[in-house]
Amino acid sequence: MAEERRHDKILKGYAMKKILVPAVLASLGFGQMTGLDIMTRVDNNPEPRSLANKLEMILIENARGRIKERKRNITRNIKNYETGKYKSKSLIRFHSPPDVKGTGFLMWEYRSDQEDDQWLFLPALGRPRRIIAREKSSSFMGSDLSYEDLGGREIDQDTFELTGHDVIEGDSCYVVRAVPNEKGSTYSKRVYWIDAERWILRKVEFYDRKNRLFKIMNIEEFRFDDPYWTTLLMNVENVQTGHKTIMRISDVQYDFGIGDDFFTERYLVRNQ
Amino acid sequence: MMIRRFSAVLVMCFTMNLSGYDLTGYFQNWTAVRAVDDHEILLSRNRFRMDMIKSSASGRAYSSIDFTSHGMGTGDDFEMTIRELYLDVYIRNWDIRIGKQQVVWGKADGVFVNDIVNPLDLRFFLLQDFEDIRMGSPMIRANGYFGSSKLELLWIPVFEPWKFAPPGTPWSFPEVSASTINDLTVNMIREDHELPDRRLKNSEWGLKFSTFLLGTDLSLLYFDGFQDRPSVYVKSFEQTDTVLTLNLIPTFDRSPMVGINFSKPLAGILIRGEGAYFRDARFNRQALPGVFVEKTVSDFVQGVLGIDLTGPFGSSLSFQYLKREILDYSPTIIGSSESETWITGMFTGSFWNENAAIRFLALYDRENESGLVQADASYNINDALNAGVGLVGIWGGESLSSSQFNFGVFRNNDMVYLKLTYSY
Repeated sequence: MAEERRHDKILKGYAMKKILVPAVLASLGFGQMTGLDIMTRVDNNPEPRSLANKLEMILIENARGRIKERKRNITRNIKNYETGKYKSKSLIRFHSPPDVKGTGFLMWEYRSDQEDDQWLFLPALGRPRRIIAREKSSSFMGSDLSYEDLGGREIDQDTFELTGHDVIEGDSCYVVRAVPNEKGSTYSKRVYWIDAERWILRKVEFYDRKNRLFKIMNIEEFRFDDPYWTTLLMNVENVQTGHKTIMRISDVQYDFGIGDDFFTERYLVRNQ
Repeated sequence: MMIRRFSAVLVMCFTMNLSGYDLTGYFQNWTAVRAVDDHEILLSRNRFRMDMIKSSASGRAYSSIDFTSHGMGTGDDFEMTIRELYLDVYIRNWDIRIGKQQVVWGKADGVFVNDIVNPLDLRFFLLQDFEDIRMGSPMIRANGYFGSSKLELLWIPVFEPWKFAPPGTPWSFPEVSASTINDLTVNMIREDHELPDRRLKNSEWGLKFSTFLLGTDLSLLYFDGFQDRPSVYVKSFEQTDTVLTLNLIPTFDRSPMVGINFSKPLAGILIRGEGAYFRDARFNRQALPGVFVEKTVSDFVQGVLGIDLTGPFGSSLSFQYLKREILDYSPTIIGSSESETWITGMFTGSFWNENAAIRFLALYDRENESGLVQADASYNINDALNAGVGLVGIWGGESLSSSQFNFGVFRNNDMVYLKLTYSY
C-alpha cells in the first residue's frame, strides 16, 4: 500500500511535470518565440532621449599569480535622436588615470550608413583632432571591451537562433546564438542570455574567429528606472588571457534635456 | 633667485586653501646619452610639473608650472617656467581666454605650417614632447561659436622669439663665424638679437574661421605677426687688407600669413592638410663687398598633406608630405634653400591591454638628404608610474645654407634615453 502510494506519487509527479511545465512555458511564449523575436523584443526596450552617467572601470591583470589593478574613471553624456540624420551624439570625458585625465572623445553617429564623425581632445595636444574609427578589435582604454562591443549592433547585423533556456540567479533566461552577417567581425558568434521577464541582457559569451570561447560578460546588478533598465555592475573576463574588467555605473540621469550644442568642439575642449 | 621663487610657490601651495582645485601633474626624469664616441650625457632633465584647475559653469582658471633642473645640455641649471596661466570666461556664445596660453593652429604632427602663433622651445632641437615644444604666450583669445562654425580672434601684445640652446652646448645650432672670399677672411660676430619695441604697433594679432562642411573640418586663417627666425643686418664693420669683420644684429620682421587647413575621413583613412602663404618674409643674402650681408624680401609658401590610418590592436600609421618654397629666390640667399621637401612617418601601437606602447617617428629632408628617426617603448608599471626607453638617430651634412631645421648639424647626437614619469 505504502509502496503503491509512493509509485502513484511518482507517476503523478512525472505527469505533472510533463503537462504542467510545458503549459507554463507555453504561456510564457517559450515554445513559440524565435531568436529573432526575442532579440527584437530586447531591441524594442525604450531608449532614453538623453543619458549621463559615471563609469568606473577596474582592469585586473593576473600575471603568474601577481594581481595588478588599474582604474579608469569616465563620464558619459549621450543624446539619442528619434528622427533626422543623427542617430546619437556622445561626449565622453576621462578623469583618471592621471596621464589621460581631461581627454575628451566626441562622436556623432548617423542614421544612414555614413561613417561616424569622431574627434579626440588630448590636453597635451592642445587642440581637438579629427580621428577615424578605431579598428573594431582594438581595446577600449585597455579594457576587455573592444570598440566593436561598445558600438552596439543593429538587429539585422546578426542571424539569431534560440538554442535553449537557462537560469541565472533564479531568473529564467532565453539563450540565443547570434552569428554576424557581415564579414570582418571580431567574433564568429555571440551567445546571449536574455532575461525572460525583464527582456534585458544578463550574460554574453563571445567566441573568436576560431570559434573558441574568448570573453564572458556578466551583468551582475541592474535597476529599473521607469521606463529604463540601468546596468549598475558588469564584468567582462577574457578567458584566454585571464584579464578581467569590472565596470560600475553610477550617477545615472535620464532625459534631462541636454542641448545639441553640448556635443560640439566647444565643450570637447572645455575639459571640464 | 630661482630657489627663492620655487620656495615661495611651495609655501603658497601648502598654505592656501586648495579645496575645489583640481591638482595634477608629474615628476619626470629624462636622461640621454650619446650613442657613439664619448657617450656624453646629452640630456639630464628633472622636472616637476604642477597643473591647477578651478572650473565653474561661467569660467575656468588654469595654471601649469614647471620646475626644471637641466643637468646638462642647455647651459641652464634650474628654471621655473609658467607654461600657461589663464582665465576663461564664458559669455553667451563666446569663450574668452586671457593670459599666458598655447594656441595650436593646424593639423600636422611634428611640423609647423599653420602652427605659428606660439614660439618654439628648440633647446633640445625637435625632441621635446609636442606639449613642451610650444611656449605659451600672453594673449587675449576669443572664440565665438555660431552653429557649426567658430570665429577665433587673437591679440598678442608682445612678440617672443624661438628659444635656442646656448652656444657651445650639444643642441646649439652652430653659426658661421668665418669664411674666405677671394683671399679675404670674413669674420661674422653675431650679437644678441634685437626684439621689436614693446609698443602697441608691434603687437601680433590673428583671425581664424573654422567650420564643418560636408563632413570636412575646414579653417581659414590670417596671422599678422613677426617671423620666428630673425634675419641679420650689419650694425658695423671693420676691414683691413685681408680681414673683414662684420658685427651682425639679428632682428625680427613682420610677415603676415594667410592659411588654410582641413581634415576629412574618406574610406577609412583620414586626410588632412595645411597651407600657408607668408608675405614679405625676410631672408639674408650675400651682397656686394662693403656690405657683406643684407636682408632681402620674398614671399614664401609652405604646405603639408597627411594621411592617418588605424590598424588592429590600437595601432595607427600616419604619413605627411611637406613642401616649402621661397617664391623670389636668389642663389645669393644665405641659410635657406629655394625649396624644401620633408617626408614624415609615424607608427604607434599599444598592447597588453594598453600596458605598453611603442612609437616610431621618422623625419626626412629630401633636398639635404638628412633626417631623424626616433623609436621608443614605454610601459605602465601602474596607473601612476611609466617607464620608457628610446633611441634617436640623426644623419645628414652640416651645411648651414639649407633647411629651416638642419638635421645634419646634430648628426653626432645619436642617443639612447630613459624616461621615468610619475603622474599624480
